[in-house]
Amino acid sequence: MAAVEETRTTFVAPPASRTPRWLKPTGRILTIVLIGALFAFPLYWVVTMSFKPLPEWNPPGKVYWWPDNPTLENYEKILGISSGEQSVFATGRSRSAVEFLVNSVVAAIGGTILALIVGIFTAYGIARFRAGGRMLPFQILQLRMFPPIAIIIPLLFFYVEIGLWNKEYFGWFNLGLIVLYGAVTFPFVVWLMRSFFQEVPREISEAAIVDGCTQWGAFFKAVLPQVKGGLAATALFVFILNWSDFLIAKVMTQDNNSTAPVYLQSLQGGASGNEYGLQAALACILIIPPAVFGLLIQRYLVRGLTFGAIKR
Amino acid sequence: MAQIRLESLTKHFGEVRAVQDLSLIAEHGSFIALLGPSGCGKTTTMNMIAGLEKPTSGEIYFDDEAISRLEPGQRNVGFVFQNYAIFTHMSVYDNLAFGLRVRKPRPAREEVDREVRKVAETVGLAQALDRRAARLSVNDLQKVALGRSMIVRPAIFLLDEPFSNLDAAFRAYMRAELKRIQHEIGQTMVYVTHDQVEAMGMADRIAVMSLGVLQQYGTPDELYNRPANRFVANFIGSVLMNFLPCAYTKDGDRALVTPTEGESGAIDVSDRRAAIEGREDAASSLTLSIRPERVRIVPPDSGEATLRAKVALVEPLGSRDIIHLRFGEHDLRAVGAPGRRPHIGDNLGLVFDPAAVHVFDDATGLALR
Amino acid sequence: MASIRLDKITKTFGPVTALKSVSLHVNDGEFFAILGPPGAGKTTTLRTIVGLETPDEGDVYLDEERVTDVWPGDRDVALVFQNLALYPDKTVYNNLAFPLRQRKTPKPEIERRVAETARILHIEHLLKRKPAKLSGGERQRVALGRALVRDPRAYLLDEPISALDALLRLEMRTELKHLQRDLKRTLVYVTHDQVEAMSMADRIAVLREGEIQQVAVPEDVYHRPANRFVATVIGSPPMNFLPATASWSDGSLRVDHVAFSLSARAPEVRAKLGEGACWVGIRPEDIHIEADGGEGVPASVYVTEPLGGETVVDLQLADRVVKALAPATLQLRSDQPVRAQLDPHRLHIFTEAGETVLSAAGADVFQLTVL
Repeated sequence: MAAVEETRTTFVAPPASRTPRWLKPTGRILTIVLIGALFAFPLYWVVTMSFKPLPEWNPPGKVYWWPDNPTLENYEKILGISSGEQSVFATGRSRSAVEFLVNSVVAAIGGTILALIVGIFTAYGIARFRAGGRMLPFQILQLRMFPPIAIIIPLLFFYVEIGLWNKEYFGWFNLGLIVLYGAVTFPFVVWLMRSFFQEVPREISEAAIVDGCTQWGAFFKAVLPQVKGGLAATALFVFILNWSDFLIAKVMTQDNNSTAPVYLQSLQGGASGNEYGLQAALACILIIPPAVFGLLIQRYLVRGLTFGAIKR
Repeated sequence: MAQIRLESLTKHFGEVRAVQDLSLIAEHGSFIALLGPSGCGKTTTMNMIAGLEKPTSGEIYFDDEAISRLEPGQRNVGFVFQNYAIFTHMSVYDNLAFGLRVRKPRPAREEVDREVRKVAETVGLAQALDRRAARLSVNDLQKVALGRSMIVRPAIFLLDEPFSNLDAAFRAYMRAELKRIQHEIGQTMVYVTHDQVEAMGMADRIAVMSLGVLQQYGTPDELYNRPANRFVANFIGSVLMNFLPCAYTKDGDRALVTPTEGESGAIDVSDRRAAIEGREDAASSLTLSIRPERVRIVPPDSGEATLRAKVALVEPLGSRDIIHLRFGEHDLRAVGAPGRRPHIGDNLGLVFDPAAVHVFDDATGLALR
Repeated sequence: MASIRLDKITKTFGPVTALKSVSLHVNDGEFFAILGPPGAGKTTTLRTIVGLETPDEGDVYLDEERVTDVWPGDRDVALVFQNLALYPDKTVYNNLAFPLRQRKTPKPEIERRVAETARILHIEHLLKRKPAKLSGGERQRVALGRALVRDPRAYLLDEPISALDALLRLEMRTELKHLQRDLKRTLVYVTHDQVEAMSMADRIAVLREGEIQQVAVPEDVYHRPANRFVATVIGSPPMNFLPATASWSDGSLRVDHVAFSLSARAPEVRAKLGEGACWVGIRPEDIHIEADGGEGVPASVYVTEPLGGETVVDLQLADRVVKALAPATLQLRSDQPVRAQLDPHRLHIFTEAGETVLSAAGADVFQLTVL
């Protein structure tokens, strides 16, 4: 009401530009292409690398812009289909990343689900019932203001002490990682979902309550369906964070209990030198899940990400 | 002070035709209202007059000077908006003085003071000059908004639903005040509203718009008593207009319309014979219409009654009753005095005086007269 | 079917007292309006009846059964929200079916009742659409439908038609009233629009800053307002108030205004009114304007506001502008001198603080002398 609203102000036309008219769109397109190429180059490099045979990886004095002899060998090795006898540096040992990929999938999805469950309810409590007062959402976000490296060492001792360090149940269920991933990403879920819930008018849940729902029923039947888009966007965001984690997995796991990013790093150096082709193949595989996930929920994503930005 | 002339003014937003071929003249010193439901193009029209939108085609003249290419600041128009632009951190005095102080060259302190006090007197803020705007009521804020626009003495004063945030009693008060202010300062005012009571009460002439098209431009009296088409007839007035399908017949020299359903007498419309017979499509059906206020209520056995209808509902409004009646399949409304309130289920005789009856062509919606 | 009783309800939100010891009794089958300006506590009252708010003090009764601590869904009353609160992700059919499903109604029964409700409200053709694809009026009907479909004990409506445009509002007004007639159900209607309250309600409660000002039938609220606030809120244009001075000789009251004086024999109000400043109230339609001389209080035309059928004439009467209603045929121009005849049968006297002391309400109470 008492806002200082200069809703409409007088404006002055900008001085006429001297650039020829045709140059404007051409120049603009050229700039966009250049910047685009700059950003796309690493992706191009990693994808082409994954198809290069060993001699083309990093030969001295020569750059292969394109695989001259494209091969699926790198993928075969990393997926454990062949052990790669024909490799120059062949040591005969398996380069399969399957086990690590399984660990990654379980930990990332588990952590995401955990973060979503805890985060959604926290966010709804904050948005709808002002749970914890005005400062709680900030305090929760503050949890993320420490760099994880700052607390990972004490956590390591703690995990070792309670027996969760490098512990995999059933050979694939790394509870310790899941709990940590959930804890680390849950503030983001709270922060994002809170604003989605705030967009849903309070009356919607009240209408459901008057219509005969319990508080829980109103949440699941009337409120949650309306933030589907936001939920999908949040899930993707959190999944990407967990999927690409390196630090936590590196500290908290060892050997075969590690995740794919840690394994990717372990291919660097070592007895057989830098195995660029294998690394590139694994990197390409790592790109796939978030990309597919993103495509699947694309429909919700655009709305989810702009939701709250626009006052309707 | 200026005359405003709109000539074939058109504005399209992509596919949306916001304003279509609008032509009208607001005489210098007159108070005109742009009236219509939301989305009718009234605000777009005003934005074009103000210079916030450029017309797609057509031209706007202030005193014969084409201004549609001028920037808003060069047009010498004053605005008052629904969301009053008030500096809440300043006093009422400083808010009023603002428009003068930013002028170059800056006017003398005494001159500003004189003007501020004069305007404050006019809008009824003389006692509140030292108060901070943040502490004012909604009602007073709107007065400040009005005063701020007045003080720069624009040639043309544009008001976009300035009263819509005010409570009913104060709105009624401000209506009279604004009309009086306009009467005293004699400036050309354009007032945008969706509220027909505001438009009727204040404006000299009203432009009724619907879907970007001007429906009628006339005095309140013309709109009320001689609506150009069904839309205007329906939009003006605070009780829903009565409409009945009717048939046209001739009886010697007399031209008659009779409601087609139910038992009723004929209404003599000989004065409109030429218009009815000469309508675009001679086969198109007709609708007769009468304002509830103009329906006369008589006993059901009176020979005067045009038709008889059964009371379905009575809405008491204090000073008068709105009586809803059922005539065959149709709902009719009449206005009664609270002292003689009929009972639900009573039969009443209704008299439709020919002078109060409008005949509309169903094909075009136009009034035939 | 149910009667509703609020017993001394007090509700605070932090430092704000929304309701101060509000007591109301809504009869079974009654159309009851709660009228007041924004912030008066109307919506809080409604939400307390439904159970979305729990009162700090006092109790809510449905059919004389205490329901203060009963969960909203178990009170079996339906609420239509001001912003409608339709479920945007559900079709109209599912919006209507939702309350029935919550009550574990069998499917054929749901289908039958949704169809029936859709028929009553003329929304059969919209059942497959989602709310975003509906017009304002259609959404309104769906919101009403969601309340009707359940056959609850009472309907509570929170400014259900205030967002619609004027024409639709007029239509919905009569439709709602017809509907309530047919359903014969208790209906509580919250509004800030006195025309809606007057035209639809059997009784009206006027609320101001969390306190009940008056509960009465429309005629009484109009002709015997409890105080200046009620007199201002009811009627459009609002009642005029003229400053005057009261004096007494025995049981005879004399009220002097600059331009006229009133006398009345009313010893019973002496204690309430006392001596000194008071207000004379008169509604615009009770001021008759004489354009060519004649009797009445001298005044001059400030402005005229034609409304079509009639004209609001603002008169400069002594130091005040008062509003009068005149037939549209009366031609007046600004600053024209006229005479204003005040109908003594329609005058009201208020204390300086605004309490009603005397309302003529059609009776021969006052003798008026023009000075």
